[in-house]
Amino acid sequence: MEYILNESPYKTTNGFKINNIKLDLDIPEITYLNPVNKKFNSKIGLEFDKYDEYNITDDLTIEYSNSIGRVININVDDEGEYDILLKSLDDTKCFSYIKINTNIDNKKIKINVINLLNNKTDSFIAYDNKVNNKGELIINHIDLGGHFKVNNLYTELYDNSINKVNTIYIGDDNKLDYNYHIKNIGEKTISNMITEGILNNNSYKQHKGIIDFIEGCKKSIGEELENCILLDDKSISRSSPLLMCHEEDVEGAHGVSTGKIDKDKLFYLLSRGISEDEAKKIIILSNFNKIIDNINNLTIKDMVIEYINNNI
Amino acid sequence: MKTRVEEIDTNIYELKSTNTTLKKSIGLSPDIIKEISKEKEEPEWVLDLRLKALDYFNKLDNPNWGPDLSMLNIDEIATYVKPKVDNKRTWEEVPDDIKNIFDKLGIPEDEKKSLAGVGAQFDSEVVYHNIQDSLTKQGVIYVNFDVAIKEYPELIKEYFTKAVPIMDHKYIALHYALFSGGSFVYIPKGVHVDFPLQSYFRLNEKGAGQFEHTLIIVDEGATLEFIEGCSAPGYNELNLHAGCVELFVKKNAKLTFNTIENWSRNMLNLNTKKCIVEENASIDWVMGSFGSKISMLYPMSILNGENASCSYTLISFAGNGQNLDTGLKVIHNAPNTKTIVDNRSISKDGGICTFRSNVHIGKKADNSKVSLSCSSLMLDSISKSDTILVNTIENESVEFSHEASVGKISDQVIFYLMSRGYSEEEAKGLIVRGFAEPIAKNFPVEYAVEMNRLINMELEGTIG
Repeated sequence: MEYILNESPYKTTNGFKINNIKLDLDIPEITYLNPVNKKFNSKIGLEFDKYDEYNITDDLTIEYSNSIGRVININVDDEGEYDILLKSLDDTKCFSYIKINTNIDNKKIKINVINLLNNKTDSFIAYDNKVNNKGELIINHIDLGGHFKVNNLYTELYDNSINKVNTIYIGDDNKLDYNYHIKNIGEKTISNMITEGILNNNSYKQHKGIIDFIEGCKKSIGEELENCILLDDKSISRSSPLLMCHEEDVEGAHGVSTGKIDKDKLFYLLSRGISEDEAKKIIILSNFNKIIDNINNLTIKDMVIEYINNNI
Repeated sequence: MKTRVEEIDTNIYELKSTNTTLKKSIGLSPDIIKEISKEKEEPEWVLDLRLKALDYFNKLDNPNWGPDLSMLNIDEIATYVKPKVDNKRTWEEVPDDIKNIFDKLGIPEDEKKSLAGVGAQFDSEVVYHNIQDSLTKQGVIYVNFDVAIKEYPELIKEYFTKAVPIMDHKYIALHYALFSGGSFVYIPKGVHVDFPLQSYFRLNEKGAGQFEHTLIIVDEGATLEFIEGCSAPGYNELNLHAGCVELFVKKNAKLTFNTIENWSRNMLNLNTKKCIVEENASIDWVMGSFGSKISMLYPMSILNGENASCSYTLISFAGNGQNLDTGLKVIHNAPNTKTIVDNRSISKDGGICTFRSNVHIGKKADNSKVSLSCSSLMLDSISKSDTILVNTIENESVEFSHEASVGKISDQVIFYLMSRGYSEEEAKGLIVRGFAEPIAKNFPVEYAVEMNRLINMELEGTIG
C-alpha cells in the first residue's frame, strides 16, 4: 500500500515534485493516516493504536528479526546523552517505526540514533521536539543501514533555545527521504542542520531542510549545510533547502554542495602511496568525522566507524 | 546633506492618457478571440491555436502553490484594447497623447543615443517600431510580432510555441488565446548587433490585460543584447500582464536579455520566459522586478548543447502590498554546461519576496558546473523573505554549489556610517544601494540609472 509520510509544509510548483514521495510500505495495524494535505504533517507521521512506549533514562537498543515490525514511541525527558541503536539480527524484511518526542525546558539533551538495519528493512523515524527556556537539543542521526528510509523532524524553538541536527547517510541501492523543519519562534534561538552523505549504486536521496524564522524571533540564527558526494552516475541527489524569513532581526544562511570526491584531495593522498579506494574512504570519513566526534560513547563510535569502513 | 530620493521625479510612471482607445473587448470567449483574430487578419492556423489555448485555459486550474490568484476574474479584464493608432515607423506619426508618455519615459531619447532599434507597445498594440537601416541591410529582422506572422510565416511556424508550449500552465494558455503585439527578432548567422534593441510595454487602460509575445532567434555565431521595459499607471482595478518570451540561441551565439519591470501596484504579472541554448552558446538574464501587486516569473534556460551556459543576475524589491514570487529554472542536458546565478531580494513595509529555483542536472550533463547565490535583505519585521530551492543532480561528475543568506542591515555598518556624518536614513539608503550594486552594474548604463531611480523611489518614505 502506498503512503505519503513526508509532505513538505511549504508548497512548491508541481514541476519541483518535492512536496512528497509515495512509499510502498507493508505496514501492519494502521488505524489512522494523516490526511496528505494537512499543513504540518512532518510534525507527526503515522499514528497507530498499538505501540511500545519507552520513557528512556538510558541507552536503548532495538532489535529486529523474523520479519516482525516494531512501532515504538520514545519519550526523552531527562537531561543527558542517549544512544538509540536500531539493529537487525537476521536478514528478514521488517518494518521499523520510531517516534521520538522531546519536551525540553532548560535542559541539555543529546540523542544519537544509529540505524544499522539490514538492507531489506524499511524505516520511518520521526522526531517531534519542543525546546524552551535555554534548553539545548542535539540530534546525531547516523543513517547507515536500512532500505527505504524516511526521516522527519519537527522542532519548535522558544526563548534562547538551541536545536542542532547532524545527519550522516549512506545511500546504497536504496531510497532516502529527509524532511527537517525547525521553527525559530522565540528570541535568541539557534537552529543548525548539518548533513553529510554519500550516494552509491543507484540510490535516490531527497533532503528537504526548512529553517523557519517566525515573526518575533529576534536575534535568532539559523544555518543549514548539506554536502553530498555522488559515487556513481546512476544515483540521484535532490536537495531542497528552504529559508523562510518573517523576521528582520535574524541571521539565516544555507549552503549545499554536491559532486564527486575532490580531485585535489584524492591526488594528494594517491601521491602519498595510498590506493584510490582507501583514499576515497579517508576523504569520506573525514567529512563524516565532524559529526561522529559528537558521539561520546566510544563503543558506539567505533561501531559506526567500523560499519562505514566495511560498507563504503 | 541631501538624500538622492528627493532628486527623483516619481510621477513619470503615473502618467495617464485618456481618449487613446479605439476599441475594447472585455472578458474571454470564443467570439472575442475570433474578433481579435479577424481584427489582425490572421491566418486560420493562428485562430485555431488561439481557440485550442482557450480550451486549455478553461481546463487548467490555478497553481496550488505560490501567491493566491483567486482575485483574478478574467471576465472583468479588458482582454483586447486597440489604441487609436497603427504601427508607425517615426515618432512624429504617433499621436501626441501616446507619444508624450513615451517621451516622458525617455524612450525616443534613448533610441537616438544608444539603441539599435525600438518597439513601443501601448495597451494591446504596437504603436511604433523602428530599426537602424544598417542592421536591416545585414538581414536583421525586428518587427511587431503581429506583422511577423504575416511577413515571416516560415520562421514563425518553425519557432512559435516551440520553447513555451500552449499547455505549459493556465496563464500561458490564456496568453496564447489572447496574444497581441510584442516583438519578433531574427539575427542572421554571424551578425553582431553592437547596440541593444529595446521593446517598451506600456499598459495605459484601467482594468486591462496585456498579452504581448516576444520571439527572438539569434542564429549561429551572432550576438544580441535585448532590453525589455514595462510600466503602467496605478488604478484601483486589477490589471493583468500575461506575456510570453521565447528565445532561441543557436550554436556559438550569445544573447543578453535585460528586463526592468515596473508595473503598477494593481498589476498581476504572470509572465513566462524560456530560452533554448545550443552548443557553445550563452544566455544572460539580467532582471529587475520592482512593480506589480503579484509577480510570478521564473525564466527558464534549457542548456541543450555542449558548453552551453546561462547566467542570471536578478534583483527584486517588494514594498507594501506586493508579493513578488520570482526565480528561475535551469535544465542541464549536455556535457560541460554551466550556470551562474546571483539573486538579491529586498523587502520592506510588509512586502513579500519569494525566490524559487529549480536546477536539474541530467545524466548527460557530464562535468557541468552550477554556482547559485542568493541574498535577501529585510528592512523591517513585517516583511517576508522566503528562499525555496530544489536541486536535482543525476550525474556524479558535476560541481554544484549553492549558498543563500538572509538578514537585516548590520547595526555596526550603520553605526560606522553615522560616525562619518551620515544620518541613519542616509546610511540605510547607501547600504541598500550597495547591496543592489553588483546587480545594477550588469544593466546597460541607462537602465542602471533607471534601476537606482526605482530603488530610491521604493525607499522614499521609509528612508530619506
